[in-house]
Amino acid sequence: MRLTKGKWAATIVVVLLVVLTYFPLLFVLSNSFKNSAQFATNPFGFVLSLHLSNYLVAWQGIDRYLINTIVVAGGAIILGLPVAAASAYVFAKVQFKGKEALFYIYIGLLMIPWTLTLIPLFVEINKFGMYDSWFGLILPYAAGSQPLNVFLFRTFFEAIPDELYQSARIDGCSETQILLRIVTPLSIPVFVTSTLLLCISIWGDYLWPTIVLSNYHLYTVSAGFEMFVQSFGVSGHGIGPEFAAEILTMLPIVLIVSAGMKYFVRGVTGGALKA
Amino acid sequence: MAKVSGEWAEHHPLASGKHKKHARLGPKLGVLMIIPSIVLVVLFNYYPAVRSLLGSLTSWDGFNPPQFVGFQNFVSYFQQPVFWPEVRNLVLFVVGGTIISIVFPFLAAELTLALPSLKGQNRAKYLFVIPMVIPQVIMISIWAYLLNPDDGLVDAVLGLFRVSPVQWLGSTHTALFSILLIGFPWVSSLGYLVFLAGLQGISQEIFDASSVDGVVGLSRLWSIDLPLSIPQLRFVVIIAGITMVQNFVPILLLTGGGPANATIVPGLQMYQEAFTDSQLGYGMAIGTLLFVFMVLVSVITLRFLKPRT
Repeated sequence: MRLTKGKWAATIVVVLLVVLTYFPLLFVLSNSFKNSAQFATNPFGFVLSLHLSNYLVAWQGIDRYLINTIVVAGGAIILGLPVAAASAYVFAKVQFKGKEALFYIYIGLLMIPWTLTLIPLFVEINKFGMYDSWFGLILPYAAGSQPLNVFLFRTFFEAIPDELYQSARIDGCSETQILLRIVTPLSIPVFVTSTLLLCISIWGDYLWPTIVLSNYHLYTVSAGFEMFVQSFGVSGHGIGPEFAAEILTMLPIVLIVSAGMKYFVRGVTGGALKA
Repeated sequence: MAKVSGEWAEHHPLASGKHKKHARLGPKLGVLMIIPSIVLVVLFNYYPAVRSLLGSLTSWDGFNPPQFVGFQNFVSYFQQPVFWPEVRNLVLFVVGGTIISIVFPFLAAELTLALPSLKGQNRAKYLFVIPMVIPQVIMISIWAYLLNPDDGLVDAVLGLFRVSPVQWLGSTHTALFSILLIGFPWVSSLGYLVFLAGLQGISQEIFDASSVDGVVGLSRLWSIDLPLSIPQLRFVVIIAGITMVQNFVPILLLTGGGPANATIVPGLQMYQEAFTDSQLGYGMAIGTLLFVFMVLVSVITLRFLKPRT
């Protein structure tokens, strides 16, 4: 391909933007391997000797929070996604009166800001006896994921062609069998997308766990990381483990999304199209 | 605006483009399938939202029964000394944050598509998407370290140019700007993917025709790409606006609203009223005002940012 001046300029600027975007992350990665002496003599430079002790300390501090996050995310996924998919299927494939109006009420939910619901939700969780338990996280997360997921699933189900239904019926499938044996396996990509989006938001949520949990042993990873960092200043290991904890906190979600990149991108752009 | 089908339909293994409603589920099963989702949504989204609007008219400590006080909470809010600092900071955060989340992702999307090879474009896209999923507290923590005035990297770099150390988060002049600085160069955000998808959706014929007319480079960006990206622009502006109004976690963790109210915003005050001072009614009144503010921002955006027909 012929490279014009514009193409060269674009390449240079993109490389520069990538470098600027990743520099802080590489800085953290490099610092996570330094010992206290290296911090003193070489606070900014990159080091070659890899001290893993920071990771040992960090892991012992946040391993619990990572496991908690997996449990909470798992709970929200198991509860939230099938419920959203079932409802979306009805919206996509069944005709009933007032359907579109009901659907817009769903989508309108996306416009309700969480600052409006935060305080009453806290009171409600208390009333339900879910304060200081993972149910206080799982239920609101599952509920909060409904509008976007119902939207994504509905769009997908609507694209399933009629011919598929007809041939399945000719083969003697009941409607429930069609749903469980044909539609469900087909919709695995949407399940992957929704799972990714939910994991990302649960991974990144700092505020709600700190409000609804008083026992910090139950914290998910963002709140737990902050707990670790704030308690760490006094424990005499230097600042190294803080950088290691940053890497350990972000690594799992970064790897998960890297593996499912196309599903993540599809979810974001698919969700954006409705605007 | 863009229609709902599109994206998934293209990727569907059995896509035929037809959209007939074809499941013959009985009404009973249909209702059963739709109820659980509605119960979740009503219980944990709609009920708290309504409760908040009503609760804003009460004085409530969370233990004793709420007392109806009419619009007293709103009056107190407007009359408190910190009201004007909050308005100023909110406007600066929303306007600054929105500009950041439009300009840089849009330019990055343009530049990505201007890369010479498809392989390069995909690599750039991949690299810009990954940082989007890094938890916010991690970014806050990293930038707090970079901006640290004693041994932070930013001051060290500026020191090379003989700039004396800046008290980034500790000075009233720079604190708010420092919080906006988190995530520099601000490319890795939702807007990047949205703009990229939009620009990729513009037909090649339009670009070909424009290049025949000599409309290339920056003039094409201004007269073709930008006008055709208005649907994406509306979406990103509204989402960025709503996000910035509510985004007080960096402020909570970095400055607590200080120094001297330089970074105090209504969202943070709402949080403190409710969860530190047990003023739940007052907190809900601030939440209600933020909701009204977000609706206004959205309506104004939709009103003034219209796609050309």
